[in-house]
Amino acid sequence: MSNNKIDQLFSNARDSEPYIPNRGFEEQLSRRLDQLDWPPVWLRFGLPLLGAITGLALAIWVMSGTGSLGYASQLALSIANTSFSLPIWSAGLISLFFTAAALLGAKKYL
Amino acid sequence: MVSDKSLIERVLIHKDRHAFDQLVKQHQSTLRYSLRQWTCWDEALADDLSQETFLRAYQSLSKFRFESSFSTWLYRIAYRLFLDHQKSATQRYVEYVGDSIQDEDGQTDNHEQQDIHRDLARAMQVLSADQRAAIHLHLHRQYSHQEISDIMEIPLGTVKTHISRGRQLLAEALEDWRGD
Repeated sequence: MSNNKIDQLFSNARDSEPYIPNRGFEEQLSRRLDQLDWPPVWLRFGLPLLGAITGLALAIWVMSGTGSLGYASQLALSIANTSFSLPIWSAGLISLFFTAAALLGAKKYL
Repeated sequence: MVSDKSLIERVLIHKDRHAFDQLVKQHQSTLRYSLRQWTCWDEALADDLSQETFLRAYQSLSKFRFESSFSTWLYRIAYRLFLDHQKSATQRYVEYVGDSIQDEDGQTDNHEQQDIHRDLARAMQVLSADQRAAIHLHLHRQYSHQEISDIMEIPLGTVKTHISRGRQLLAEALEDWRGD
């Protein structure tokens, strides 16, 4: 069969290309798109934020009840003061680096 | 008909899902037809790949830079998915079961016209997946070599080789077919 005939064959196919009806195609796709959109952005970011705020409030309430709030604030202040020194910063960064590497390495096997 | 560009902008700026549904409506038939040709008229597989194509397009629409037409970009996603499928599964050819297809007015087409498309897809079985895609995009969709190169993400020379070799193989196959 010559090239011209092949061109003609495709030309005929192009001219008579059928419209393929939906038959539920768009509805099914729409349902899958809905799943992609869930959870919505406000919920995706709002839920962890709400959790963090609730957790913090709960922690303050418990600590004030047990009288350890003053102790905790002293501890936080002491850590903050210590972290200003260079060796502590360096050790912190190095340990962060190794932790990140370990997590990335572990991710491959999970 | 609303242009693809304005629909895409509506999706990106206003997160308008209805605009994306409209894009699907405008492109679903041509994409599904092309995938039917690529998959040798395996309707179920072609529809699965089409759905996946639209899902990927929706997820990465923000990466669309309007450097090509939306349909070219859509074909690029579809072709990547088609290739992935080819690599992961042995292709099965499903006998055409006569699910009626309609013309643009919604009228059921006659069997003779349906046969052209089914038989063409059947004849394309002799080609490799790359050749089939290149031949269909060039001869049916009338994309230029450069556009096909962009869609298939292969060099221009390879596109020309696929088309030329594909034509040759198709000609031989159709000659044998006529002789049967």
